[in-house]
Amino acid sequence: MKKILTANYLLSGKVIYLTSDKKWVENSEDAVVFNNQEDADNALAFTDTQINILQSAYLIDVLLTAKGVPKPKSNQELIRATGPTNYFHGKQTEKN
Amino acid sequence: MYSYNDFDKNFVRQRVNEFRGQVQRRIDGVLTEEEFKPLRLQNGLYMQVHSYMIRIAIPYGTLSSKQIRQLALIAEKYDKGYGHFTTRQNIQYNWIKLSDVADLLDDLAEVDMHAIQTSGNCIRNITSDHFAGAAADEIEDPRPTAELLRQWSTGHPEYAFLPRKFKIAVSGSPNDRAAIAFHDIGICVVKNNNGETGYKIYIGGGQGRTPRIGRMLSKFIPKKQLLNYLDSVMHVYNRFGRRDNIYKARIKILVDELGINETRRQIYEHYDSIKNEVRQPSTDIAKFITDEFSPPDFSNVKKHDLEKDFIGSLLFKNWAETNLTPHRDPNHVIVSISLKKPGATPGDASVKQMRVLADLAEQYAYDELCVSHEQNIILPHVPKQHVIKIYNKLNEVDLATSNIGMVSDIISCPGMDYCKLATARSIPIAKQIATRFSDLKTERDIGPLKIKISGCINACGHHHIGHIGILGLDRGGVENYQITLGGDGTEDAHIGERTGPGFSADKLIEAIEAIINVYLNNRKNRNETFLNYYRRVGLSPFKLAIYQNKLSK
Repeated sequence: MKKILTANYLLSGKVIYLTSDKKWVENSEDAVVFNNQEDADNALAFTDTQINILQSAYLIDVLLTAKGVPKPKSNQELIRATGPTNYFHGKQTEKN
Repeated sequence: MYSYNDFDKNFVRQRVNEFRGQVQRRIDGVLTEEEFKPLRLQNGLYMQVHSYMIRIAIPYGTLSSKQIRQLALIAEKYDKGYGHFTTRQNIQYNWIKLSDVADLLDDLAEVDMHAIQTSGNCIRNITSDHFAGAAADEIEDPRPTAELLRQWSTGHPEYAFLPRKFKIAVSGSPNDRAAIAFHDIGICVVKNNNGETGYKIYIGGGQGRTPRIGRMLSKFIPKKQLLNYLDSVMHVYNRFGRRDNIYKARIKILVDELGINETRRQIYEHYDSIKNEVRQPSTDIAKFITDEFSPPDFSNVKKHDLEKDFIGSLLFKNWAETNLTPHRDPNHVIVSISLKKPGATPGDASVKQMRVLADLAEQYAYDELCVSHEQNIILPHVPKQHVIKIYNKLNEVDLATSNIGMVSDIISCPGMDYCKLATARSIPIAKQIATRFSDLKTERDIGPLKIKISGCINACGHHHIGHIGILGLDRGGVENYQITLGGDGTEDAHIGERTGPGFSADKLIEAIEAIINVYLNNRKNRNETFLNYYRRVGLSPFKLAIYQNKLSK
């Protein structure tokens, strides 16, 4: 299994991802990848301490690129990580 | 137009203040997300794909220029410069911050608007005919009834915890433009043999995963009994509606399970016990509501020959052919403004466009607009002499597309680009189809044709009632689109029939083209519309055309 942890910032509503040093970032490519269920569950449990800054944390399946960068597996999570396909809005405007 | 009295104003302001406090308690960590979620949903605030989304009620679609100007301001202040008009005559904003919501709702309250009951298991925004008050075929303006129902259902404790959401539509015309047969309750203003005005009531219609045409509950309910009657429907729904399974909880399933006769018997049992109670407002209040919708004084408008304006402006003439509808006053017309420029997102309007709409309504159209469930904007009362001025101004802001009721006037839900429930995208499909057939000659040759696209089985894009309906699904992680044919949301209500297996996004356009070609090559003549042709020949020739080339996978 390959999973990353995602949520939304409580105030801005922005889509965020957990990194290896337990920080939240807006780029899914910087997320920490969990290779086993125990690590994933522990990370999810960590979000219980974060309820004042985020909402609705959950794990998503990812694929790794050749360089080991996580890429959401489902279409919806891809759109969530990138932005809508009808306007150049959202995360795609912030990425290089 | 109905404007809030002090009671309405206080009610909305108090609600905003209450929600402001609840938001603050969530931010302070006093409320968990689980505790806060039902509170935010009661105020129209969802967590969607990219951010928070707020859905704002536009009762029966009617807006003043002041209101749409404020909607533009909200798009500018709190969103990304546009709003999305929905198939329930509402508006949604997709990029909202929790920290802004209370201020946004305060801005809305300034113009007598709110987001209450736009979510949750309650009676939702009451919808109506977008030509209300203007249509030549109207028995009566349906909006005083819709407004009465808005007041009756807003904050009503008995309807705050229904088994599931509940949608009511009201039409004042025998020609149904409000899809009343596809609502939990559909109400049609009728006259009985004595010439008295009352209501024909349909129950248990709807789309979603179990599409149903509303079943006739009563052919005539006297006006003064409407609230007693509807209260009886809600009583039976509250009492017997299923709560064990979200997919079986709509009233249409109760009607399926009980049968219409037993449903009717239950409703009348309650109705007979309460029909001497007084639920209708007093004569004064009823008159007040009706007077609020008094039509403008049309008598000062001079006769104007629109044909003369066509000379030298073929584009204007083309636009007038599709976007104008006769008004009940011969010196006026109803103007439909398309939010469906091919290549644009159906139902979206920019800040600039909304401001132009506000200006046009104010200058030329008695300060009134209406959002249609087909995601367009209507100017219900336009003196003929002003039509060309309106057209020219619309042209400056990409709002002069002449396609009302044509192939490129596509209804589309937000789909997976914005909606968490979606299983596929719908906006890109709408854009592709509209662009493919937007050439004026092709579009005019095809004639009236309603294409409706939903990005999931919940059918917000009304695919079941599209002449061509498209339903986006997920097949092993790939978007796949099923086609239905022959749906109709009018008084001649039909649910579309599925052609068979679905198509990938790239093959779908070919399939739609094949369907349209079957029609063009085989219709009796140009007067036989796509829908009439389909009704004559059925699915077979279409199936043959789209499956013989193995377009589907």
